[in-house]
Amino acid sequence: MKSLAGPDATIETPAPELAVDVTLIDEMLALDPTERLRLNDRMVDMLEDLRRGLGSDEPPR
Amino acid sequence: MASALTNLLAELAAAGAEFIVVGGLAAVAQGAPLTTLDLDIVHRRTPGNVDVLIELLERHNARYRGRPGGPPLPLDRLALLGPGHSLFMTDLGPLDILGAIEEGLDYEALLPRSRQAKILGRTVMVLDLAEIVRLKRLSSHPKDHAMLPLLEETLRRRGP
Repeated sequence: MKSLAGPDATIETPAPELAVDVTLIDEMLALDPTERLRLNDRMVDMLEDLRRGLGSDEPPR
Repeated sequence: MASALTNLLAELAAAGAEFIVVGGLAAVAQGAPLTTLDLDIVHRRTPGNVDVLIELLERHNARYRGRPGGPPLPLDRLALLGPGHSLFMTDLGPLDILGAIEEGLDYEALLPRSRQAKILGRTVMVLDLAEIVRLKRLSSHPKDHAMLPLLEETLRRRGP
């Protein structure tokens, strides 16, 4: 099929939609509010451990 | 220090404080799979409720965050009666006590847009996920927009 766009036409492609991991959402929705908040506590602790590890003075292996 | 935001929230409820959980932890409580580092609450700004909050803050060795090193400042009761934001570090984690949030929405305005949640056996009010999404859409912060798809999908899958 012949294109109607001229030689200088720019065709814009739409930005890709962000993909959301619905599995994770469904797993969270299966928990009760206390369990969800406890999970957040554990994630915060893990992030803090990571932060301390990354700031460690030990030389990389 | 292990994160104890869940315990902090339950302690606030156990103390009889009147507040609404907002921000990241409100979204987490309703199923959003994200991680938040602090507890944000909008409190009822009555003298009695402020006294309850101050008593809890003192019990948990609260100090103002973001202030230069030096002796801890006394808790500012007048500030807690106003619409401003008071940011604390307690021995159970960071606690932000907000007199009002976007659009000047305070406790009374947010209460009809909140729902009950049971946390460690205590009933707390959390800002409804639909309202959280609405406010994030209005925000000009890139961070708020970045989490919108996740919040919107959680809302869709949760239903009304």
